[in-house]
Amino acid sequence: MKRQILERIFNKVDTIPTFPKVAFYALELLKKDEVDFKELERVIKSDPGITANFLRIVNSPAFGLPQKIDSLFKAFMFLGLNQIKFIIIASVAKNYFNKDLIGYGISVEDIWLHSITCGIIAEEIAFDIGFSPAKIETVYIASILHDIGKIVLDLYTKLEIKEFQKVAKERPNWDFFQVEWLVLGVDHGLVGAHLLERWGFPKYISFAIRAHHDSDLMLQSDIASIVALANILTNMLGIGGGVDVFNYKIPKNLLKELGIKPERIYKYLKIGLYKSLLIQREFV
Amino acid sequence: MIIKVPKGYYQIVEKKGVILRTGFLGSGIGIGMIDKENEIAGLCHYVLPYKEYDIEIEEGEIIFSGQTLVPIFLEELETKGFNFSSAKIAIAGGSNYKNVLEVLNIGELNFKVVQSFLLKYPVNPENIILRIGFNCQSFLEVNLKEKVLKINLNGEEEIL
Repeated sequence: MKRQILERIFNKVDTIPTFPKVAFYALELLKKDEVDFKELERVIKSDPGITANFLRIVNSPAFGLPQKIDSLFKAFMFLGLNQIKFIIIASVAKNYFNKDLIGYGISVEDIWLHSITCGIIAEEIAFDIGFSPAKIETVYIASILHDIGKIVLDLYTKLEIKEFQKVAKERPNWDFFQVEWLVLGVDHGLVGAHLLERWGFPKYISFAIRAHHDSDLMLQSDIASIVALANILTNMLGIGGGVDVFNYKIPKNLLKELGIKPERIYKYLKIGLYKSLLIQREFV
Repeated sequence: MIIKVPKGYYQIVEKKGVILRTGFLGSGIGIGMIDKENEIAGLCHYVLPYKEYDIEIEEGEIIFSGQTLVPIFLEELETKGFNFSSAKIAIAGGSNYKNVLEVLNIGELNFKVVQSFLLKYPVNPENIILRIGFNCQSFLEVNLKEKVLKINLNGEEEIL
């Protein structure tokens, strides 16, 4: 039975549209020493969905632009390179998180806002601990997409919800991803990682997604640790939710491994809350 | 009518069939209060504990911390003639992960804030229902139409 579910889950992975080439190409253009913004505009414009999301996001007060922006090129003039990359990823993510995740008990608005806030907090942490711009980019890609596996597993979680509840009740010490393993034979982190590998993202990004709930695995990579911490803080702020939300353990040395002083936590919470409220205002 | 009370705000209603609701509370706190005799009800929702974490979103628009919000909320209830001694009070949220790291235990700090301010009012401890610190999502509703408080812990609703 479980084997059949697993086969169906991995068949479903094949039906998820691949990460748009347009976005990959745009990110490549942004890595060049001298960015050709005309070319960047042409590339992004070729995908109307990403363009529309980009302009909505950029006009959110979270980006603090002095005027309403109606063209990509104008937006590029006001934004930093990292902000442009962030908005591209967020725009793509919006197309994936396009319906309520009923099995996981979270609405379409909440899962997207959760993902974006996680990206915002993760970027802040990465910047604070001195990551290079290239590494900061990997951190927010992994953070924004950390729950992408849920869109694949949602149907099966919904179908097996009684079994989930039963197993979780019988094993209160288990983390939710262990319950996913027992019921479905896989967890949303692993499925998300598999998806990103298929799309051609580097291993260290897919690993961060794989590890974001696993208290042993996450400590093996600073990117994964940041994604995990950003996810934790986002949930503490009440942004997101769902059936699994606090049903995990946190490694005791998570902050120490990242060299984060405890007093910094409130700074991340404040920034996450502030920006998420501004983005929410534009979208919800 | 349903009013969603956002983070950092409170709402007080009188003699109306109004329902007040929080969203997902996270480690934040929801305080629901209902005075059935005088038909006054209030709901207060905050995320961060201390006033140094008040956040100005736009000019003049502030998302208040518990330390700023709770006393204003309680004072306004008092001004409106709210009877604290017979009122039903539900406090929910303050959720935590399975193993609580002290530095990330904002739920407990948030709860201490509301405790410290409630001490000043003649509330009856038997009328206070606490659902704090669970490792699941929680929501709070104050229903003046049915004159009840509702706490939702991971989909299971408790009516008080």
